[in-house]
Amino acid sequence: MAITPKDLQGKSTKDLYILFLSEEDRKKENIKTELPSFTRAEIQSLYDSLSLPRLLLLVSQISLGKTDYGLEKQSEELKKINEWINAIQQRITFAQEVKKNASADEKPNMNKQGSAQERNEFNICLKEMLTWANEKNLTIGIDQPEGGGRPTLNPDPSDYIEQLQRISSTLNAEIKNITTNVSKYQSDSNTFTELMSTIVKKFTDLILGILNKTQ
Amino acid sequence: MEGSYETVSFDERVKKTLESNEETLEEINRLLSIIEKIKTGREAAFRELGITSEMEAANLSVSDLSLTEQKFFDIIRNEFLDELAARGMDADFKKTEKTKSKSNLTLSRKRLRI
Repeated sequence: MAITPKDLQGKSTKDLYILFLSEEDRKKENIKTELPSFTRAEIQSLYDSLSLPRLLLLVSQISLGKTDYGLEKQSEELKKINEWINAIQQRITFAQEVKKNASADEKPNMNKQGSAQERNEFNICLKEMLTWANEKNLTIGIDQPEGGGRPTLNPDPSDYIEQLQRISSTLNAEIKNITTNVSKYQSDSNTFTELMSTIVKKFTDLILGILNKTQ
Repeated sequence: MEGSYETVSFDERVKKTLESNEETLEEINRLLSIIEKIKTGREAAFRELGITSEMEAANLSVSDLSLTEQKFFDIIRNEFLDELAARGMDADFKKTEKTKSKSNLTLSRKRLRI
């Protein structure tokens, strides 16, 4: 008699242990049960029909789906913030130079300084930062122009730098939150690995233990 | 004099911002390296469990399993969730308020010992 899905329906690991015990072993362990008993050959056949890795992969999806998605998202976010901070660093240094070199009666407009390509690239960064901050409900100190045009900073070099400082503060503070998230992912991943090893050991010990028992 | 004091103060603040930003860039690199380690560690753990990259790519679902495997999957999944609950966590690894007593788990482990 082969072990059918019905035999396994609604069973716990404890039931499984009893299910796989021979009548003789049940008597020895004083276990009274209505569960049917199977031969080693039947248990071996069941074990051979299972692909434990496939089952484990599906179990992992219960918990790791969200973690993996979160990890991937976090990685992308970090790479973007890295890009923005590098751009801010360059822009602050550049604004310092402009400020230093400007004569007393000159009023440089930072939004017109530098090459068109540099300005364009930085404007893309500003727009991305603004979208990111809005999505996260963060105040980043850049106003969204009416009609959804490209955001600009204050033209005066000092004001421009101050605004970039405020943006930097928001980004730096958010990195602290991301650090906490990454630590959590790390700990979840360790918990997952540990649990899986425990479960695999338990199941293989259970089935192989029964199969390897001397008759 | 007042103007020059303000300039020094302004420059100092800018210097601090630049330094903080550099520290953040270092932290970002550290975090990205941790994320990579988590990914490679997970991959290694999967291989150790016999889960191949082909299995992962196959977008396996419970309905792809035989009926017997589905029943076995239920047992393993419940075991996994019980172990998480014993650690005070739900399926998403979030802390739950009620922590299941470990005594039941220990008992079932004892019973399972062969």
